Amino acid sequence: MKITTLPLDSFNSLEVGARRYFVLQNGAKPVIAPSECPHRGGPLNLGRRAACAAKLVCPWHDNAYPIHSIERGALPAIRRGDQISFVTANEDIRVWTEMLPVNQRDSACEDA
Amino acid sequence: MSSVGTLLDHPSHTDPALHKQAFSGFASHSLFDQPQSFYCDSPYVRPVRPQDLNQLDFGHVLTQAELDQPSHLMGQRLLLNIYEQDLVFLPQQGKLALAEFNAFYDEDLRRAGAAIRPELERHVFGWLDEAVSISGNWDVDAFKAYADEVLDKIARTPSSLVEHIGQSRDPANAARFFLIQCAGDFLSEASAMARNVLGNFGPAQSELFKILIDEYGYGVPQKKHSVIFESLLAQCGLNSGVHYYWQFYTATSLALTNYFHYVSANHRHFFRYLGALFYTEASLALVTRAQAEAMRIAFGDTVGTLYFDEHAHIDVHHGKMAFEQLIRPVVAHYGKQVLPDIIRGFEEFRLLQDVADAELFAHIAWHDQLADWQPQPVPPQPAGAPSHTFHECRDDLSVTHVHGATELFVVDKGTLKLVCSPFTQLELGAGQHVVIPRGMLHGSVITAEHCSYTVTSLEHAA
Repeated sequence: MKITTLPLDSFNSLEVGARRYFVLQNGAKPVIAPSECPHRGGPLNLGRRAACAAKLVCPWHDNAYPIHSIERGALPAIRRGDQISFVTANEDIRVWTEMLPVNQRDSACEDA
Repeated sequence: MSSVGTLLDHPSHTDPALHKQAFSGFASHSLFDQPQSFYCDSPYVRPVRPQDLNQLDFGHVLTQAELDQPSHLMGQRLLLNIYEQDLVFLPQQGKLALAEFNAFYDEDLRRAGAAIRPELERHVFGWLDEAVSISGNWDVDAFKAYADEVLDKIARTPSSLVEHIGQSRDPANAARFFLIQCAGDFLSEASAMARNVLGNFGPAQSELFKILIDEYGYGVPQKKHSVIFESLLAQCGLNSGVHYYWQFYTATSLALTNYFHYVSANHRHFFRYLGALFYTEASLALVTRAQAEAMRIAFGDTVGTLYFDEHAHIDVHHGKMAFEQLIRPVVAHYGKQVLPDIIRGFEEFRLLQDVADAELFAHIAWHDQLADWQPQPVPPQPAGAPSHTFHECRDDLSVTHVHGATELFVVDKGTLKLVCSPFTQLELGAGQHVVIPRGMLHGSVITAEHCSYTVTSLEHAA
């Protein structure tokens, strides 16, 4: 296995082997979540928040996923201060050094 | 939230007058109030400076940047007193003062401590919730890989302790100050662990018990780790009485001891305890080699390093036992749901250790600076800076404390001794001054019939 440690403000997207991930805020906790929607592979990183930020809605077919269920597929990670360490298999890791588009605006709670 | 939970998490919901009374009643107890000396001959005498209570706010969570504030030191001192009312202490040197013994374990005092404990824990450890978070799909092998990386890094990195002691102006006294920081924990070593061996949690319980047996020397006093440490202290010219150097523990050294009590006193945190135990056992197997080297640098061959050598050996086993016989089976049995807390404990204790090391090294560096102290003209003071003048009499003793800002300390009249460690003390007379950096532990004792001194903040203009 491989451990990678990065400053949290240096990236928001990465690729491990053939899988893309993005940094998803779950409250104060950063989660390195899979970008691919489990339905048809839509870009979850461009999804909008719903249910008072408890869910993420895929922009392709409007499927809404609880953040805690997305986290079950996330990379195992530890944030310590402003750094995050994550564990991967011994695959190639590509980190985008520029911030890629993400859509994490919170929706109003009324749509819960 | 349950009503009990509400009370614990929002102590302000309790009657504020009763709460304040509990704080004052505990902190102002005669055992914790004004002592006669900087050194504590009795294991029950543990001054906390109750006169500062009104200026401190324990109702908020400190940030990591605020750990050098006075409320952190007082909070940690109070907490250790509360936790250690659960432990048995009898003096090993001198007679038992039965009145002090009875007073320390008094039911009313215990009740007051229990009432203020949740607020103190939140105040001094709440910052860890912000500092560390665990996310994603962990399994026990991913955690092992992460832990191995952390431990490999410790093994590969030159020891900061060796460096700081080796480069100190006075390596022997720097090493003694390090040993004093250890003494708060090591003289009652593994007491918090003992909180976790009762009850019934299957084979893992027996594994934890085996570690405890090692720590306590298999029933042979000379093999007890605390007894080996007592011998080391004596060889280094230090007193081995429990908390003899109470006033010279830094807040973050106290935090290391208190964290284990914190996650052990309430078994809701048991899985965090397992993670912290694994970190400390596995890392001690590595760092105790460097600690033995630091002793040799400081004292040559005049001091035995058995205490550290024993840990360099046995903690290899304890680290493996903590992971392979405790954590791995517990996760296999109870599922991955317990892993985030285990990992959290590992990372939290690692962070606390780093913070404590940094505070120790900062103190050693300041003590070195003070060794060069020479009388200088008093520097100009910032306009409008808050300042307080104190008038005291011979032998008046100011229990060690820290200031929340860097301060200019000027003696106006008479003489006093500024005590920064048992080995770093300045005799200051009228017109002489010293700058006390924020967060640096110090106290004073008046050495003239009358003395006046003025303390001025160098950080905050009014």
